[in-house]
Amino acid sequence: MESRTNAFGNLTLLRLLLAVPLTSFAADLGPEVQTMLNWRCVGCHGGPAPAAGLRLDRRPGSPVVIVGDSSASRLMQRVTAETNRMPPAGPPLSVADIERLRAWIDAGAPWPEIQPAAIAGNDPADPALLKALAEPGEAALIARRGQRLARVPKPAWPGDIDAYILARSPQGRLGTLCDDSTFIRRVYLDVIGVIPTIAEAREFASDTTSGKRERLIDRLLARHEDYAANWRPFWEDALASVAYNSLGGIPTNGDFRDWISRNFRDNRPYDLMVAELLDPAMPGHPASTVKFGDRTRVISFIRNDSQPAALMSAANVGQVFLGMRLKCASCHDHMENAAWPQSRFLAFAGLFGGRDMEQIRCERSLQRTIPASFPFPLSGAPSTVPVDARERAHYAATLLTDPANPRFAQTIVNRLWKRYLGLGLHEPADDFREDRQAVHPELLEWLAYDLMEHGFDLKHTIRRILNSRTYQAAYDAKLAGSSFLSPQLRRLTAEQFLDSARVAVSQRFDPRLRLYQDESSSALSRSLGRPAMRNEVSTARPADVAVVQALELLNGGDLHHLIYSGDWIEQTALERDDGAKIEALYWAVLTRAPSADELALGVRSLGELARAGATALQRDITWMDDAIPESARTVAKKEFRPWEWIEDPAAHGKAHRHAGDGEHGFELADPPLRIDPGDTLYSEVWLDPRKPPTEIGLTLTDGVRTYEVSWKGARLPSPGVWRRLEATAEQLGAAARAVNGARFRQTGGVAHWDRLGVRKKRLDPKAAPLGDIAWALINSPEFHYVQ
Amino acid sequence: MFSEMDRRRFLATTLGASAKLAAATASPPATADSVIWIWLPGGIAQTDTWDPKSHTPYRAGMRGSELLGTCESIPTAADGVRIGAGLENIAKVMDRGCILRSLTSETRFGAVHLKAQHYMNTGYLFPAGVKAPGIGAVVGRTLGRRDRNIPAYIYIGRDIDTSDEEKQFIGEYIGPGFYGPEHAPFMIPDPGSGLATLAAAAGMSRERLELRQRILLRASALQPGVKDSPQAALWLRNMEEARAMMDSPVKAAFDYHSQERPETLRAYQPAIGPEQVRDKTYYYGHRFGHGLLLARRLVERGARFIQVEYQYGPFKGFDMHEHGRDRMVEMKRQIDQPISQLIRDLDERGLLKRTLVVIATEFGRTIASGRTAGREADGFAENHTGENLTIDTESMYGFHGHFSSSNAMLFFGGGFRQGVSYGRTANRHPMTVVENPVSIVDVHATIYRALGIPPDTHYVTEGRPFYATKDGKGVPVASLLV
Repeated sequence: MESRTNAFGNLTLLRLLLAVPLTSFAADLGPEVQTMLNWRCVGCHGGPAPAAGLRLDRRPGSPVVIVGDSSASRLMQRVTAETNRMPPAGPPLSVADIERLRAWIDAGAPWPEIQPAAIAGNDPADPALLKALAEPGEAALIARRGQRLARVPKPAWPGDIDAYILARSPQGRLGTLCDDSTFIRRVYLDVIGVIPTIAEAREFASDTTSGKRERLIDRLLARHEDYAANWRPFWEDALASVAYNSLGGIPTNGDFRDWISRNFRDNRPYDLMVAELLDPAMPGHPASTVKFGDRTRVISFIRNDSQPAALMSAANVGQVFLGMRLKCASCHDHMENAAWPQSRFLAFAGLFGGRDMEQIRCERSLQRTIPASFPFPLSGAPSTVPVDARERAHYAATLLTDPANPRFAQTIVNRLWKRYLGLGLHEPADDFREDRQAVHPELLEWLAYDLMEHGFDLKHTIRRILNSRTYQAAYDAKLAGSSFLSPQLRRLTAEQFLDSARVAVSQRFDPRLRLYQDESSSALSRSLGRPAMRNEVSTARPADVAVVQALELLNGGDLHHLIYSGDWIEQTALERDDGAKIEALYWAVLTRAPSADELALGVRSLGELARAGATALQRDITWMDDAIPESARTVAKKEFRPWEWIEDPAAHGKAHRHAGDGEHGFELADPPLRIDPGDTLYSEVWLDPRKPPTEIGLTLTDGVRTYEVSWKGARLPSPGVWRRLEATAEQLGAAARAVNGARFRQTGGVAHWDRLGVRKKRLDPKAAPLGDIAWALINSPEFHYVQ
Repeated sequence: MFSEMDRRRFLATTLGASAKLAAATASPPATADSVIWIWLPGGIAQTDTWDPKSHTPYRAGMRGSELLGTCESIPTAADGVRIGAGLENIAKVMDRGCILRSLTSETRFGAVHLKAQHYMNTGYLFPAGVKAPGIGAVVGRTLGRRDRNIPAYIYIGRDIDTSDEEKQFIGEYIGPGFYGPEHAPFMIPDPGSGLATLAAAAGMSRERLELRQRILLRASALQPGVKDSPQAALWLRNMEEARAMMDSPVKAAFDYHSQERPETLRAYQPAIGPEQVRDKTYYYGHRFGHGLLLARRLVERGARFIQVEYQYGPFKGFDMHEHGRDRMVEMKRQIDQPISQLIRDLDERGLLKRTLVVIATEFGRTIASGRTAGREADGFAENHTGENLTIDTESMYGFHGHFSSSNAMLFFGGGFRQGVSYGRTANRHPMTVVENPVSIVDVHATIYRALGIPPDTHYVTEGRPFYATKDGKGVPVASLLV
């Protein structure tokens, strides 16, 4: 609980305390006033276009500051004014700040030049690094790579991954090699995030030539879009990417979705990618500017519009790119990591904050700033930190990604290792510590060096890991551990699970239907661990199971519909004999043949389910009946008609009437209506037999695109009776779209309209028993985990 | 057929004990077992409700400084405690209630509702550095379920299946934060539809559902490799637990339409119909009222923490930036009867003793800075006397400015004092707290005290402790407790 005494109550006391010592130590006031001005004023009165042409990031001249005469100085007048007081946003300057400012002006307004901080490592500056610092952009970063790497001692070659693991194996051997079907499922999920189709799995199984695993790895890595799609959720979480720059007035970190997809699709060198993320001087730097009230803010991964924002940004950089958990050093010395006193973190944060950070310990200012510096010794790095905020960011990004700072590469190769083996060489992967060694430090060092030597090509390291015997070991519950004789079981992410379930039941992989592209959040995706919102960076999804999740899997409408509408399930159920159905289903869902026991269980179950009367039930989703959807609003454009609700005894409750040419509709419904392939849109309509329209139509919209269907001439329903109009998702061109508005169109005449909705595609009732078994296999542990 | 006995045996052998208290220090005995947190976001004008001042009728050209209340105050069943007119039903149960009038916050939220809502629900300012759990998740995780089949944290009245960014943000602060999905609330957007996933999808028969479940268990037991893993055991146990919940008494709680008498159903309805509300694009509290009825039924069956929300929408409901008087009349007619009925029902059933009912909103309100309300700079309202505001149309008459410095909160039962008010605010603008200021963090600590949860209860994330109250330092407000 914060508690502060009322500043006004202590005004007199404060004056007494401040007046004497502060004037006599006027020189000490300079840094404090600078910090305060930086903190409260320089946001507007600084940078390339300072407000009112006034800069407060350097010593202001007359009449803003009239040296020796605080009461005549405009600055004092403005910060104490009754109206139009500065600063315009946030609380007024505190009494203490005002008194300090007054004393500072009266004492001659001393303005000490900020002394650049020295960084660790005193050897002469490296020309290659100096060039990269002097010339922002990719070319200089690439050029310095090799020369800088030469400064890092090349780690001893540990043989290769397998030789290394073998040498330390407590059993004196490696784990058993996994079979082909386990391998193909594992590598598909790991590289592109979905399971293979039966055809892909069979083709791989029938290939008897050597080197087929290596070739498959290459083929999958070459599916650039799919590879990027599998990475995107991880990086969205890690960068706290959200689709908006502002959430109800709160600035976010910004939207990196396209940037992530592009970088992974193109397999950009990892150092360039990160430098680009952090350094505004890089051409592809992702950032945007947004107006908040009358302030313009830069939205990017690094935010430095306030000290808390800068500290948070620095902690995020530390966590994601250097594997350091530093948040708790924002307010005090790190509680359990003695290597990180608060001042070391603040020095690091000053690199990103654009200015040296004020030391505020547990909400109390210590009235001093910590000079910015890079936290690791870096051979050949220049010992001065630039003062200019942009130059600082460039300096920080250049040093952070420098090959002479191996922590950067180690963090990412450790993440890769963890991604593919289930456990990092260093754990926790976000908390590299000097007091906690990696299980295989030599391997970690070597993998990091190898990545740098290969131009930070992530696919190079991924290829190395996936081709190792260690990666290809069979899962063995008894061996899974840090000896890496068996991989860990890894839980599928929400995206991998739902995308794979779709492939299993349809035997079609359609990249447009992948969950990562869906911005809306559902109970199912949330329960499987996909965050609804990303306010904080995160490098791991929760792997725990929960009843709320199990209920979604058991009974939730979304998963039910996904499984019980699969074309392939239907075809298979109707065309084959029971044994063949079960055989095919195991291939489709688990990418393997069933054992004899499994086959018997499946065949027996089909019979039992048929006797239990398993049928797939119709599922209609009524979108609108008697009123527009709760959250929607009437389309109010000029050319649109108002809604005219009437009581029509033949309708289900009310109907909406339309007479003459034109259209009426609603928009902005939330949640939107999802239309899946195979769904049928319907609306009920009654045409007035005295005055039937010559054409009627429906338009759906997702806010950007529209999807239309019309009925005229012979296709018009007969007048005088209620009829159900239907259009398939494919006719509308709206398959796999989420729509949030609908319009009812008409040429002439009078029509009454009623319920609008979607009939979900469903299985043929005869296919329902196989659907039930598909449900059981999809919800079995073997499907939910990568084995 | 996998029988009920089989299922019980399976669960009994595999399910762990209920959640343990992760408390660092001993705590006085609890005075409450359950909480119903009635969440009325939007920012309620405390002066028209729980902290009335003098009524100043509308007069064209009146000064903002003159406007201290848009309604008369009325006496309540609690001696000397008055509340705003229009809350006559709640007034009758105020002898069981405790009004906190001096809730205040040093942080000026200005125009930003979401930050203030985050603060009220988590006790942490946004951003908290890690995903902060909502209070329901803290209580749920720390105390666990009261009844083994009833989820510890249930949230009624909000639909967050959406792509709308504000709603998604809300999903975070009512959520489990870093605790993960295991501690997520069971979301019940519409009490009338209940918890859809407790019923078989698409009307699947019970027999078939059982068969399907048995196939899952048997097929899983045959899966090579994975069947021996601890993950598989946990997975199947969890699926079985969910299946068992489908047959549990919690499901019956949702069937209130057929089990409650018509007069009870009516008593939990708003006293205003959809045709009578000014803004016909929003809802009129029907889900809210029945949400309270459902909350009562769930508490009767052993629920731990239930939050019932009057669904928040910017500029809707209690978020009034014009026509404040008229809209406040409407809002009171929506909440007055259902809330009072909830208190009476709990009391009659002897449940109010051990059930704490909380009524909260994210901040109070004051007069606006000018004609267009809601754009005040952070901290503006705290110095605003209203001298230079002229109210020249009726639409301006009301409390349209956000006010972080003053907020009111109600507590019924669960070991809180009854029939009293606590704290005082100024009788002129700015109507800031003049006596016994209380922070949100300390309010949380007080609620935790009633539940027997020490304020320094914590769970570790990212290698550091994260406390139930900020830095573990929340201090219960003894004057609010018996």
